[in-house]
Amino acid sequence: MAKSNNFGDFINKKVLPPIMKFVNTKPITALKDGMVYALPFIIIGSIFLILSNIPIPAVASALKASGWSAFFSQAYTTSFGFISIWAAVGIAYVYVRNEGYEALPAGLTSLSSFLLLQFLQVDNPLVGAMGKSGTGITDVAGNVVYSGAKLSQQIDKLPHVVQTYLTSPVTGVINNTWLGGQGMIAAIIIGILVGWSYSAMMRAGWKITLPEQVPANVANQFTAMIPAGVILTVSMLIYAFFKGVMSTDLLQLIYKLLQAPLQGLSDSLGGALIIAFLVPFFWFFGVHGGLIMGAITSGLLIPNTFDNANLYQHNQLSLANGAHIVTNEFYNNFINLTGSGITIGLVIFTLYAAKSVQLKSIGKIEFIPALFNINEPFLFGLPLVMNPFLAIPFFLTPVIVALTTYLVIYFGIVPPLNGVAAPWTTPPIISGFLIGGWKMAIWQAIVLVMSTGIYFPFAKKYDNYLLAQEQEKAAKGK
Amino acid sequence: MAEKIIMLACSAGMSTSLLVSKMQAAAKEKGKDYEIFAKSTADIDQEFKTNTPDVLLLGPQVAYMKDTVQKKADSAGVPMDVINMADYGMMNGENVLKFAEELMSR
Repeated sequence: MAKSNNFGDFINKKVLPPIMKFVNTKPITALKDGMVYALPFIIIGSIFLILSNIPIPAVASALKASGWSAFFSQAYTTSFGFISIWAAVGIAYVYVRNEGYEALPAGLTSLSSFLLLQFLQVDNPLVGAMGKSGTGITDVAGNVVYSGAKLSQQIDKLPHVVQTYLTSPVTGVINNTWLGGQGMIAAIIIGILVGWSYSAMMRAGWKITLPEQVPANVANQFTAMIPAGVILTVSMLIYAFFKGVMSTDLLQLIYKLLQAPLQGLSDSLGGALIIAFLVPFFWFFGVHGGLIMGAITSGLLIPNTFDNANLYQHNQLSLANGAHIVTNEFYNNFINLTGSGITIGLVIFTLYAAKSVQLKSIGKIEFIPALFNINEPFLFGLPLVMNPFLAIPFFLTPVIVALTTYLVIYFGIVPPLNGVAAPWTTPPIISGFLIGGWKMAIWQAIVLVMSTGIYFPFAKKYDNYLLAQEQEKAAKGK
Repeated sequence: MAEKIIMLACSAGMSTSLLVSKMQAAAKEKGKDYEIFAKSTADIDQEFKTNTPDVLLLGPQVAYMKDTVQKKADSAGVPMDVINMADYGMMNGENVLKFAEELMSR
């Protein structure tokens, strides 16, 4: 015990304070609480995604033929598909709200800046259709009716000027690509910077102050003008710089230099194992590991989910097509299944095998919450926090589950997660079915069995210890 | 209108709402008229403005936010503290209610 206490002291005094300081900084708080505003749209959008692409072929083709599939797609695209918009608005909004200023103008300024910083154009559809590797022209059902090679031949016959004109980007549109997962990191950065600079300007008193006779409602309209004006002017200069000097925009740059490599890292086996390990690690010291890791990883894992959703929508969900293994659902519905540490095994032990009064009584309290992936009663009541008896399975179970889940998807035994987002409180097996179909549901059931197997021997030892203690107390009481 | 308003806060207000129902049962047994509710820590500012709780209890899993929350609570004049880990884990509504009453009477 003494040894582990020294180690605990070291972690508590040296390791945790800087991490906690980081987690409590204004940008991270804004990120964590701002993303909450995106959540309803992600989940509602997921329902439309399932409807537009029901995993039963007969139903799916009937929906497609009737045109309803396209309607569902429209609803999906404008909710889940616009995830970066919700992030950009939500993060700046929360940042400024926490600073105590009227926050909606800041959220809208962030949105405006986010749009300002991207090219308002999309590639001409001809470019993607032409050539041997092009998609060609397809009919409603997705069959190629005119090949890419043939299309190129026809276009090549035209005068050069007409060719250039036909294949030039379509302007005057907002490119959906950047409103979805690909714009996520940019949206987060812009949201934080706008929130920070807007608050700083308000604090410094950079606002138009009207005479007192002017009604408050009228005066309020002017409050946002200077901060918004400054932010948008700076954004415009940044846009001009990247467009003029590098012929690119900030969003593409952030995506290529920052988001794509980080997404790759989060989607690697090592990334999955580290995330899985850190959740119980924080909890062991009494700190909400699920919340902290969620805040840090969601900016990467949600775009991973989004990529998979996109592939699923186009019926192309496979690792070969670039589907991710580690998505936000890998985190919510596997690493944290039945609560941090995947403690369902402990629930089963306490209900059926425990002899000590303490474990028996707490098992009854935890049983129902566990079904909804909540396990604070165990974390603090068993407890799992700072408990050397249960530390090994508590750290090990999520790591083993992350490892095996990664491998079964990697080797194609279970298909990749389909990008549907179930609320994290969705009970196991049901959530598995939603986020990956029946094979995923079965795999989740296997995970529950794994948890039981890993926890059992350790829980037995702890139970014996508690029982001996209780008997000793009872003996003394007499 | 309830006699006193007790607010609990944790990460999402989910696990704390379990404790809330236990505390409500304990209050009812004692014949006290308390309004008890759970919220996310992100909602604290908002709740201070609209609901003006008489006491704020923080779940132990967000104890790391105590300093920040303490500042807010001090400026709003709301007494606050972190709930004891064991009472929280065992969902001991009675003890936590007693704790809240002590804080309010201070």
